[in-house]
Amino acid sequence: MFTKILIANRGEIAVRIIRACRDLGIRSVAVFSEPDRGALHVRLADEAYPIGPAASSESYLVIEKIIEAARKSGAEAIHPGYGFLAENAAFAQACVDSGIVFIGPPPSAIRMMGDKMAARTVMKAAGVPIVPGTENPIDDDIGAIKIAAWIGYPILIKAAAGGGGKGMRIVHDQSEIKSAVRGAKSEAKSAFGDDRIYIEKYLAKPRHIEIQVIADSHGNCVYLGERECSIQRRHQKVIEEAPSPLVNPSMRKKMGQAAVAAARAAGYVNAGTVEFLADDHRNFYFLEVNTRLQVEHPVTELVTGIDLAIEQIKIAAGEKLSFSQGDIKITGHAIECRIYAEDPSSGFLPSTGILSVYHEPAGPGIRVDSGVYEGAEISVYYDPMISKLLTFGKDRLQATARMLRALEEYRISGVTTNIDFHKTILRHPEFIAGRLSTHFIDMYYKPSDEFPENLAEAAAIAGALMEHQAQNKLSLSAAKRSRVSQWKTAGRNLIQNRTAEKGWR
Amino acid sequence: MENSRAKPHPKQDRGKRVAMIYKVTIGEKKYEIIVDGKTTTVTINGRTVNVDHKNLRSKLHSILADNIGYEFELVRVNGGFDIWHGSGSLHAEIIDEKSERLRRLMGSSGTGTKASSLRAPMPGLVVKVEVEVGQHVKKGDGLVIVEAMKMENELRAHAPAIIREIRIRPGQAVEKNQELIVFE
Repeated sequence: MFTKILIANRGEIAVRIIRACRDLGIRSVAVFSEPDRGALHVRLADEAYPIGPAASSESYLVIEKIIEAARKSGAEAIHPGYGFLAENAAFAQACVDSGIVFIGPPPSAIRMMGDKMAARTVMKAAGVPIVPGTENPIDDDIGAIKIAAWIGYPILIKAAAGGGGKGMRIVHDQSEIKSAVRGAKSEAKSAFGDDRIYIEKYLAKPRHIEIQVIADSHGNCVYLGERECSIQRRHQKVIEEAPSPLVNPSMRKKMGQAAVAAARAAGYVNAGTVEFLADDHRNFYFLEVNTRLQVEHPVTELVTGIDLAIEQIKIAAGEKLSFSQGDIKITGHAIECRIYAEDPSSGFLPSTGILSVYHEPAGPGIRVDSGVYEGAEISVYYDPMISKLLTFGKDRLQATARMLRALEEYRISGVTTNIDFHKTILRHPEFIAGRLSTHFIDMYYKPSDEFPENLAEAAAIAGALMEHQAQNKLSLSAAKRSRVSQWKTAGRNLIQNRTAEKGWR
Repeated sequence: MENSRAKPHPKQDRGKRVAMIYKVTIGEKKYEIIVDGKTTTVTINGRTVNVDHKNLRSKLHSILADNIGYEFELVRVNGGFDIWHGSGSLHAEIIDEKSERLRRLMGSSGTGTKASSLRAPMPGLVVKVEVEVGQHVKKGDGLVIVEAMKMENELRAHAPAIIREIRIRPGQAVEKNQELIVFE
């Protein structure tokens, strides 16, 4: 086992991995950019090394600086977290070349799964169902029109190197195809330096369901059930849960086996996620593989009792999985709400500022993974996620009730958050019924800048009381001032005016 | 408003707390609040509410309004407070009756201050200006697109307005609170 691990990340995920290290008795090494000197991950780690200025392109994304910090600290392994360098095959390779263990899959698997088109080909060969579409890049709109005619509109144009919705276009009919191909190509070129695009059938109301897999370096591979992440905004997940309200045991088994086949086909080692789109008839189609620990991994931890971050470290150290497929039991229900510093009433504009009040919820069934504390700043430099709020219950109803309770208890001042937005979603009859799709927010969420009348009234009273106190103080001090001799103040003013005239400072 | 003249004037009773009338505007809602000497009851739009107020620390306050609990952080801003309630904030414009009378005498036009300009809510880069000088916009219309936190954010009109002046151009970096557009 390792004695020291460097965490090449910041925020809540860095804190999460530091906690796993401490559970295992391993020393943790943080890296930090200039504005992160006081960040929670730096405060909690055993050691910390500066890696440059605020811009992540000059700090958290610079491979040489991370490797250098690992060398200086004597860390034997690096955990990349998610985002930043987590799915960068060159980084994984650089670790290997420097004799440092990369806690994640081999560079070859990252590379293969990073190319969305290559991944489709591999999956199809492994017998994993894929969304109908092309396996070769489309060069122009003429080729695209032919394929669209074959699979039927609407279609989705996607970037081969894609991710995060970049270089993606929905095309409803032939008239839109020319500009969509051009737009997707140029966006893909500027985002990934690779303008290859491909076509998929566009599913009308898909659900996003993903399977957590975990594989050791001895050929064992196990699936840990699914997570449903259909509640998304602009292709970013907002609420995740496990198990999925759609998935029954036979679908879970089918999806799980497909995911394990996918992982084996990619030569996968360590924790990974196979994402699928599903329809209400329980058909599912391979979407992509995320070769990292996912943001939403804790929902799986809560329903399986398996600590994924710890398993990742053990696997990287060459240990065998301590469980087999038969040992995996899904118990209860877990929900995660991502708490963002953003303003839902004004188009989800990011909100920045100091967390002047920051009070996390607690009590039965609550877990908060955060990287902040009261007095910390949400800056423009990084992701505006404040925390991941998770609840666990014996069933979906209890987990939801606990989430609503936790959202009510959460107190944050200084930045606007999406806490009330989460409450609105969780109380929606369609959410309660478990009828989810990736279009849920567009279909059912209406932004409103209205606020509850009783809250506004109480706020108005609080404001009036404060104003009243201030006025009383003012008149008190005015009363005190007036006891000072007018002669004195007159003399003082005279002197001040004279010095001002002479230009003295 | 006429009968409010009978209320005592704070200066007549130096240092001692006396009843005062405050006009509070939150969004489109208006409240007239009378705070008496003891501040254990207030009258809001003619209805009496029992108030128990506890200052938890610095700007953080607990309010029990007819025993219903609220927690607010009050941050003083020009003309009132930003009142944070746990998941966001409300802006309350507050004016006491005396100041309002004074303002009226001095001929300023009412208390209803409309946003006279659009300011940048965060530092960023102007990607696009979606309006022209002289254009009439309605509430919700897009005005400027600013890139920040790796995302494009559309700043929209909070109220109907006419564009008087555009102070930025695409490609320009802007600071937080920098004036971007001035309305008529």
